[in-house]
Amino acid sequence: MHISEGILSAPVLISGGALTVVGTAIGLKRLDYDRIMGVAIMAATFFVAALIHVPLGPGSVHLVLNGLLGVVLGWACFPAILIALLLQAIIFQYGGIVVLGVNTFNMAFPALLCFYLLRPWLKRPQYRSAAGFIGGFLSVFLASLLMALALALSDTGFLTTAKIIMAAHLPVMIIEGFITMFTVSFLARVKPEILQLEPRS
Amino acid sequence: MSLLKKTFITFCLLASVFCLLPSISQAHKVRIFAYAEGNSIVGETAFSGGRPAKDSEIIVQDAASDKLLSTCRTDDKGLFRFPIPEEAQKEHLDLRIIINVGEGHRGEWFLEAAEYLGDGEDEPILSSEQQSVGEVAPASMTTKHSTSDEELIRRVVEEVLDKKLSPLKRMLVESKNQGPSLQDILGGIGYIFGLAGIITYFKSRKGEKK
Repeated sequence: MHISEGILSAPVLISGGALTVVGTAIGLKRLDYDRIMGVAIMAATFFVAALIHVPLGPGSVHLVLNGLLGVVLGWACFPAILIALLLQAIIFQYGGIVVLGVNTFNMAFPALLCFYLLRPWLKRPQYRSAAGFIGGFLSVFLASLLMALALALSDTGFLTTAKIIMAAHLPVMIIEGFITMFTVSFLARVKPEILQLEPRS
Repeated sequence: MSLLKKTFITFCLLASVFCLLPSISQAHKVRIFAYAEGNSIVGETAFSGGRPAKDSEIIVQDAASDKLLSTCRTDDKGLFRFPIPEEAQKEHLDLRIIINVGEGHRGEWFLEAAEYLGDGEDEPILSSEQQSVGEVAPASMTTKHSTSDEELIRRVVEEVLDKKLSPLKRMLVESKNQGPSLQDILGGIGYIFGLAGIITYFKSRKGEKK
């Protein structure tokens, strides 16, 4: 899920970086004092999730969990993913500093979309698990799509790249669908305030 | 409620232990390693989890000018082999060998000219020496023998050393490319909470001023 350094062209890198800066600024601005630690916990989860490797499918892929971050954090998923990716780049050499903006946007934007799409469904208990599954599945799906697009804008043909990436990430989409589903329903039962389902004053 | 809390805490603990098991922590990064063997360059590629990068594109470039010199593909075991490009041999170019897996993963290996030209450079010296020695002829027959013997021994030793050292080189690269350790992971988590602490601090100061 991390695009390596030296593949993308400059316009893609710059626009990805700019979009990430905007997203992060909004995310930080909307961040309540009380929720900072929650965001940090989610960022740490995201940071560690990339180490869990899924030995299925043609490629070599790892968990992403961006859907879970999106559903739980909303706009705050931008700074959380940015920090986690930065540390992954520095410590594990996943991705890289130059591509950080593009990678962050690729993972955070689908997460944000899922947040807005699924919010109404998460509020109704009978649809909650389905919405959780869709959140996990869709965010990885869209992230793969964005990744293919970023690669396509740089050089390689879009369709072939997209097919390879989708095929490689299909097991991850399904696994993340289940992880997000269970985590969301668990949180809704145990600590519903984390999900912020009730409108806040 | 307390039971739920307990289950939540055990769940978290189990999850964190599961995440930290080294056997599942595998990276998603391509590594590449190449060395000269005779007249060709041989190399290995793998994802750092150990899975070979099958049928991937290998691009050979001049390290200084990025000029494309040669391409080839890896086989089923992630190995590749290509003859040393003539141009590189002539101009003593340093090579940059790039693997491009195509899903946005890419690795590089830098091979200095000295590394693969090792004995190639000696050759012309040897032949010219032989020629001149041959012209002077019978008088210095013994010296000719000794120099060519020396040359032969040197080349044999170099070849054997290359062969013996290549697994060692590979081991070095592998140890360098090992997946993240427990310290790395805990350190990263620590950084995240540290940053959260800093943000909390600044937000709280803002609140006080108001």
